[in-house]
Parts: sequence; C-alpha cells; structure tokens
Amino acid sequence: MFDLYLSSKWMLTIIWLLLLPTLIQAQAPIQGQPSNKDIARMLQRADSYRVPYQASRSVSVVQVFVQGVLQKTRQYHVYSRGNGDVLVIFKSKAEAGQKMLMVDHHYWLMMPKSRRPIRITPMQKLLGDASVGDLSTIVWEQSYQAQWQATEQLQNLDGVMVNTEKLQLRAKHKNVSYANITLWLDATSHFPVKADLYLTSGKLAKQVWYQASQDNSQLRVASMGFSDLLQSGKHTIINYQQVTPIKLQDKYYNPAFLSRNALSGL
Amino acid sequence: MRIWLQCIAVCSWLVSVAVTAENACLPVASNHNWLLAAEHTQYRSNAIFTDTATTQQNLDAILDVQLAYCEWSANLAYHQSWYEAAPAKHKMELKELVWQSSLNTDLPLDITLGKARIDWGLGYIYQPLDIFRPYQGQSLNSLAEQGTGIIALSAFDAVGEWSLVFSDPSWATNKDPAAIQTGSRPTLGLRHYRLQGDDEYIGQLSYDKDRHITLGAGWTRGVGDSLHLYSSALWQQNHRAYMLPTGLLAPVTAHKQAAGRQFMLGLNWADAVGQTVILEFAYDSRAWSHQQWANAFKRLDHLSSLPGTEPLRQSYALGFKHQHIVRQNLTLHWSFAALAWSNWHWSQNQVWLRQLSPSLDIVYAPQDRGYIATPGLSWQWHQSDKQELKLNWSVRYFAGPSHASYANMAQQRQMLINLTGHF
Repeated sequence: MFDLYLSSKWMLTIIWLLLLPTLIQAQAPIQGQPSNKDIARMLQRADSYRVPYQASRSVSVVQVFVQGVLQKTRQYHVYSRGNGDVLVIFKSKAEAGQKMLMVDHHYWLMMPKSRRPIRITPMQKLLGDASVGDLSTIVWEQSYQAQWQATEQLQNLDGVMVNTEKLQLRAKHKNVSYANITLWLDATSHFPVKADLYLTSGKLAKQVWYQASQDNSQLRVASMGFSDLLQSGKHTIINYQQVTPIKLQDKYYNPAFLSRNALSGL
Repeated sequence: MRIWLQCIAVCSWLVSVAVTAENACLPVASNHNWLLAAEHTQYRSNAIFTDTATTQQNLDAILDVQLAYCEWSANLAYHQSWYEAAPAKHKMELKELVWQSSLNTDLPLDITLGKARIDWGLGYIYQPLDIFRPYQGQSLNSLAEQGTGIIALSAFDAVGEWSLVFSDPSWATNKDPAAIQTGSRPTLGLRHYRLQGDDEYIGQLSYDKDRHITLGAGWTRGVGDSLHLYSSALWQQNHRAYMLPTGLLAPVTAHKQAAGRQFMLGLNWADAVGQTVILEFAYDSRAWSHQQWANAFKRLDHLSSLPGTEPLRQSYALGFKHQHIVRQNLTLHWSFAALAWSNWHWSQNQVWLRQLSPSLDIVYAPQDRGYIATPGLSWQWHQSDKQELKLNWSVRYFAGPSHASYANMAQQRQMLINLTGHF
C-alpha cells in the first residue's frame, strides 16, 4: 500500500515537472504581443484611413441591396467636425430635406416637414432605412478601449490571404450603437480589413469589409460593405466619392440649428 | 401689427435680393409631396350630437411644394376636397415664406422673418411647450400646417441657443379648431435650449393678451442605446375655457379662467428587432375634469327628457373643442419597421412583407376609461432614387363606457386610405 502511495506521489511529481514549463509559458506575455501604446497607435492609423482630415466633408453614395438586388442608391454629404461629431445632409431627391446629427454619441433626425429635430436612440439609428447611421463614422481611438487578441491570417473579399492583427474593441460610452467590435487590421499598414459589430445584447449586428484606394498617393478607405445580420439579406455599400477638408462653424453641430435654412446649401 | 410685419418681410426680401446679387447661390431647390386620401366617417347620435347617425365620405387631394433659394424658403399647398353630400372645395395656401440669415454683428445673431412655423415642442404627442399655433397631433390626414407671422432673433453657440420670437397667428388663414386655448393673439417669447452631456434642457417665458405670462421647462435624456426619457411642463397665468353653466337651462359658454397647468412625461424605446414604442402621460388642467364631464353627462341625461333642449345640449359639444378633451391622457404608439420582417425564418423570403409596416396608436383616458384606438398599415409601394410612393390604411375607433368622453365624440369610427408621394 505504502509502495503504491509512493509510486503515485512520484507520478504526480513527474507530471507536475512536465507541466511546469507549459504553465510558466501560459503566464508569460505572448511573443510579439503589442503594448498598449502600440495598440493605440494601430487604432490611430486605422482611424486615419477612415477619417483622414480633422474636419472634413465627404460625398458618400450608399447602395442598398436586398437579396442581392440593388434596391436604391442614395447620396449624402457627411460633415465631420474632427472630434467624432458628424452632420449628415441627405442629398437624394427621395430624401431631400432630411438631416442627421451625431454629437457625443447622441443622435437627432430632422425631417423635411418638421420644424424641430427629433432625438433618436442609437438603436433607431441602426434600424434606419439605408444604414444612414453607419455614415457617422465613429473615431475608434476616441470611443473604444482596444485589446489585442491575436495575429491571424484572413482571406479578404478578393480571396487573398492577409496577415492581420485582431483587436477586441469595447465601447467607452454606454450609448454607442455597437458596444463591442472585433476588428482585423492589416498587420503591416494597420488598414482596417474587416469588423464584426456587436450590440449591447451581445448580438452580432453587422459585418463590415473595408476596401482601399489611393488618393493623392495616400491610402484611404474608399468603400465599406455592410452585411446586415439583423435584417437578413440586406447588404449596404457605402462609397466615399470625395473627401475635402472643410470646417463648419460650431453652431452647425448644435441640434437647435438643424432647422435653419443655412443647412440646405451644404 | 400685421401690416408692420408684412413691411418688414418685403424689406427683408429687398435686402436679401441685394445680398444675393453679390453671393452665388445654389439653383432653386424644390420638393414635392402629394396626398390622395379617401376618408369614411361614421358619426354617432347621442344627447349632444342629436342628428340621427350618419356617415360621410370625402376625397382629398393635396399638392405641397417646398422651395428653397439662398436664404429663402417657401411652402405652398393646393388642396381640393370632394364630399359625398356637399359641393367640392379647393384652396391655395401659402404655408410659409421665410427669410433666414446670419447678422454680421459682434453678437453671433441669426434672424428669421416672414411667415414661418416655429415649433418649441418636445416629445411626440403632447407638447405643452409648443405655444405658437401647435400641431394638431392626432390628425389622421395632414401635411404641413400653416405658419404665423414671425420676427425672431437667435444666438447659437456649440451647445445652446437663446431665441427671442414675436409671433402673429393672424397670418395663418386656416382656422385652428382649438384656438380658444392654443394662442390666437400675438405672442412674444424667450427660450433657452442647452445640451449638457446626456441631457437637453429647455426653459421658456412668453407673454400674450390671452394667456398673459407663460413659464415652461423641458428635459430629455438618452438612457443606454435603446431608451429616451423626456418631460415638459407649462404654467400659464390665465387661460380661456368653455365652462358648464350654473343653471340647467343655460348653454356652455367660454370664460376667462385663472392659471392653467400642463405636464407631460414620456419615453421612446426601440429594440434591435425593429419595434418602436412611444408612451406618454399628459395632464392638462384646462380640460374638463372627470367630475365636470360626469356632471355634463348627468345634465345631458336630464335635458334629453325635456322638450326643445336640443340647442342647449349641442352647446356641450364645446367641451370637445379644448386643446385636450380630458385632463389625463395616456398614449401608446407602437410601430414595426418594414425591414424587420427579415428577423424570422418564416418571413425572410416573403419579399412583399418587407414593404409592410404595421402600427397601433391608443389614447386612453384613465379616469373614465374611454379610448381612441388607431391600428394602421403602411405599404411602401414604390421607392426609387427620385421618388417614393406609400399606401397607408388606418381605422380609428372612439369608444369606452357610455359616459366616457371619447365614447361621446361626434365621430364613432373613421377609416382612411391614403396614397402619399414624394418627388
């Protein structure tokens, strides 16, 4: 009995000694894991491809497909303040007169027959007809806390394998549309490749693929393709046709100013 | 006063034309909305509305044109109505003609001159703060409403606004059915709006010869990604209301009353499936109380037994001409986004369902349990880059216990089918 006890004790010691290096390795930093500073830099670079100027105007064309069939094309002028605040002017004839404002993750919608803006919830913004809410590009670095997850190989929409850094983004504010984002950045340029957008409930709402273009030898996001997982079969492509640096007066980002005629000319 | 305002409007136009000559403007922008509506109303016969129960059919066609050029905007509408038992009517309305500009002064001031709609309301259904000719929120069949004569100065900063408004309601040519309480006199108002974090705050002060001083405040807050809470309240020094007579054989007449109070609390909630819920509770001290309505029905029961009292009984219909018919109202709005049908397997492949959006509105009077229920369906018939076509169907029921005020309104049931277009 004592021999059996001794032999089992020896066995446990041998197993412990065998497992020790593995346990030590699991607690040590993974080789190549970027520091918090590196992660912040990655996000800043990723943002710079999406929001290239401090304050800008982008002419955006949105195509909405349902079950693969193009349903409608809409044009928007999107004014970014540079701090994440966005003013969207609806330019298509069918939506003329509508405006949407996002200030500090709060949203207002101005309808053409109304004389005051109505405040909408981030959820109502998501349920908008043409994913207008996704035009208001949130600056990731300002709005999310990022955590590095892994280096992954990802097959992009062209079928090419891309080395990526996979990041997990958690919202700093409680009222953003997407509480969590899984983001894949190109391992070299940190250009955004793909993002999975999750609601507060944990539900995967949308999957986005980013397309690049060279603008004056600058790499930038030329289009984003959104697969809507809340409204199955709906796919939206947002094309950035023209991005120019323009700074509007602060009052243009004031909800009370949305009803003024001055916005019609933007 | 009206001539004075019109002179200012003409002068501002001349100034703006001179300014426009120097500054390049975009070409004239125009938007067109049209509406074709068929309405069937079933009327009730009771102690107040003494005609035998009848029905009425009418057809309305409205073309609404919005124009914008430089700092000018205009809204014109042509309205044609055909009735089953009356001659057709038509009218052309200038709903708005506004000049808005920024003044190049040391103070960052923006000016508004002309015939304009100013909306100071907050929320969706009950809007105590909307003191300049408010919207008729429960209307089944309306496009934009008419503006009033406006001179307004506003100072905007990044998160706030101070505005001083003079409004002359006599510029509106159509009649406001609740004019006794919605402000039919020229009004001078001062308002402050501020966005602070998750909250928006409104404070306002106004004066006119009917209401004298009014004081109002409003607040709204976003809670998480799905909910908004909001509230507003208004106190007015005086108000006018229709009062029950002291004697049985006297009619209901309008009287000047002391202070009036209105209060509203609401929420707006939306989920990821595509449902939107708006719930509002409203209190209006200017409406007849539950006790006053109970007295009115008691008297009507008595008067009905007396010969020749029909005109007297009909005067009680004025109780329905207040801005709100009962003091306490609870309103629920539910709607379901058309694209949300893709949430379930059974409906994913039904493409026609993706154009269909159901809705339900219920106005409930908790004190007498009367209600107005309006189920509706909206069908997006056609949508392209340049135009939209929508077919709407709704039925409205006015019901409740026999002595509930909503169950004694002239209308018993209304059905509306309308086709709206935008190009």
